[in-house]
Amino acid sequence: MSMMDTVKGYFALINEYYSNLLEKEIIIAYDGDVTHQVMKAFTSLVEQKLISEHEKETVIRRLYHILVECLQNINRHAEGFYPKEHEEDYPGRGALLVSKSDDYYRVITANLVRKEHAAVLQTFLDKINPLNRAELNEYYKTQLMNGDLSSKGGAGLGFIDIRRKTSRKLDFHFVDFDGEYVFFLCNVTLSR
Amino acid sequence: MAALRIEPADDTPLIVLNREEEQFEISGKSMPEDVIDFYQPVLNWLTTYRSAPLDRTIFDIRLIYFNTASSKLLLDVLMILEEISEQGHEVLVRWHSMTYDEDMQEAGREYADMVDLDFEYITYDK
Repeated sequence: MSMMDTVKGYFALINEYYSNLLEKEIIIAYDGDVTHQVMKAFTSLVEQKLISEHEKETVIRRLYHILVECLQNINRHAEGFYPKEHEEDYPGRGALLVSKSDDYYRVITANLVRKEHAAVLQTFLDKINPLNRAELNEYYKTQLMNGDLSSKGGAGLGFIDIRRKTSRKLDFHFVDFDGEYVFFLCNVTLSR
Repeated sequence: MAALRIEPADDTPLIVLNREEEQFEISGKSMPEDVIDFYQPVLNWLTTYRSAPLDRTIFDIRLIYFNTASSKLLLDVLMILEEISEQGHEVLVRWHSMTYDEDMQEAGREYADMVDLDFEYITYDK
């Protein structure tokens, strides 16, 4: 697959897996590099919009948090199409859709991860999805105290926190891209 | 010892660590681009302070937002305060949050479970 095919691929995949999204109001649709500046701009944009629409403050805080964590995951862990020898210097690349409906907001992300990372991520997400509220709280504390935090963040704290703040299971898919990479799709739904 | 003051930005909190004036505060938003880099001077300052703390340290945490990467560094801050308390000095953490912000209040209670420190919860409206 060429790079151009891949650009189309991000949204094609989102439409394939979450097609009912087209019926909703789209707040943000983006495909590109996710830098720290992009993260700050999008979170602030969504926050301002929700404030102007008089959304409940708790919902605004939670959606803001979900966006920060999802975008930081892409920023730190997603693959881009950069010269291999300089990979560490570039932000991750990904697609983002933020949508609104009468009862909930959704944040959908799509990005490429290396096959070996995808396997680790899947094991982790499969582990936290069945946990109840009390178990999630315990696991969050365990990871906070003992988890391995690098300058890239980590220890899965973001996903655990999203899982408990939304009180829903994480809805994710891994889709083969080529021998080296896998698409990671994640749909986070937050009730209003 | 010299005070440490870091002015707030749109993604980093205000830091005030001042032994002379007995002011210890972290407030605002915490989602730095490099969280370890940002908190390193804070941890360094507190590590020095630990060797000659006040008899009573009141530490104000007044965050309106922190991301999960910051949550680990906040725990590191609290763990140094816990060591000061274990040395026999009085330490009180005042955890401030907006009245509506149950998530922030729960975050405070969660930290109180993880470290052996006295917490006081203060809520405010705007």
